[in-house]
Amino acid sequence: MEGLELARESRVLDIGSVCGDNITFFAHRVKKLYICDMFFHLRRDPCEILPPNQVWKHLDYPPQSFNGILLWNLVDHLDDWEVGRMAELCYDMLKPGGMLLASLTGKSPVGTIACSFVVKDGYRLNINPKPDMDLPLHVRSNREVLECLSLFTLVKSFLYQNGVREYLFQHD
Amino acid sequence: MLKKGKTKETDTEPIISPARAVASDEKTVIGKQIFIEGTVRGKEDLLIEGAVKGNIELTGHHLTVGLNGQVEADIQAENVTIKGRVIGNINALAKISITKEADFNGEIHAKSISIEDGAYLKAVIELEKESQKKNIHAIKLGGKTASHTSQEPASLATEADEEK
Repeated sequence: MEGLELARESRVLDIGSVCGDNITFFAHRVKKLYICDMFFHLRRDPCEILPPNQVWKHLDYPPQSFNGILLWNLVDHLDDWEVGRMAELCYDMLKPGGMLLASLTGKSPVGTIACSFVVKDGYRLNINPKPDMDLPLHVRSNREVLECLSLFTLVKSFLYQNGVREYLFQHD
Repeated sequence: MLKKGKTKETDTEPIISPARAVASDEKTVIGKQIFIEGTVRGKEDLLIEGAVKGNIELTGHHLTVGLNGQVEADIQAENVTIKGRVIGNINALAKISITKEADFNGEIHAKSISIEDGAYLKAVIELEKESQKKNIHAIKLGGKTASHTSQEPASLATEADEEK
């Protein structure tokens, strides 16, 4: 998490579900915080009869726009093809050297219920249950996660006591 | 003694006319059935439950976009609360509050922000940093250098960072 506290001129994109605490946390630490709730679009767009791949049209930012992208646990709710598409888009949107943060519930005890992550002071990552987030869960091993996001270089990974895994990747 | 009775309606100058704006307790309400296109300027708090397209300037006052409000405008106000749908850029001198029912698309510049989980945002958020405030204060006190510095606002943050 500390790795994403970037220079004050940095631009960070958050594509997780809208969380007031996270937005406040990062908005005070970066120059500009961009918000695009992909969880919202994944839930809503199928109802609007959009093809699944069209959901990514919402990430319509120019190439190399960001110093950091926060995925949170989005990877947990996408199939391999969608993760690949998302990874390509993130790779394009990140500046060289930019950071990508992913937090996965996976096989952890909390992974059985939909949840979001909330950053508290001191970089503590709390889990916030979201029972209304009725998206499919795709459990992946560490190796599968690294394969899905192989466009990036793994900088750091961390396993919490509750089984949540946090990965920090870097754009080459 | 002092007169605390109601002031006559003729004494108050309506901000928005001929739309059916209702002034109560120094807050104007733009009702559900009202659509305004253009610039809304005022010196009291405003609640929008109808639709507004254009610009909204409420210097020193509080704008609330109600649950039924639909706003497509650039907004300047002291405080802004969004419960309805807003497309546009917001410049709040103090705080922006976004409730869980809100649907916002645009840029936010403010001193502080409060967002309820569940709101929909496609937004760019830029908060005023402490370093910026310190610099602005220093410029105001500096007198001679103020005009020169104000021509290069981009350098303010950089100077503050260097100090740190």
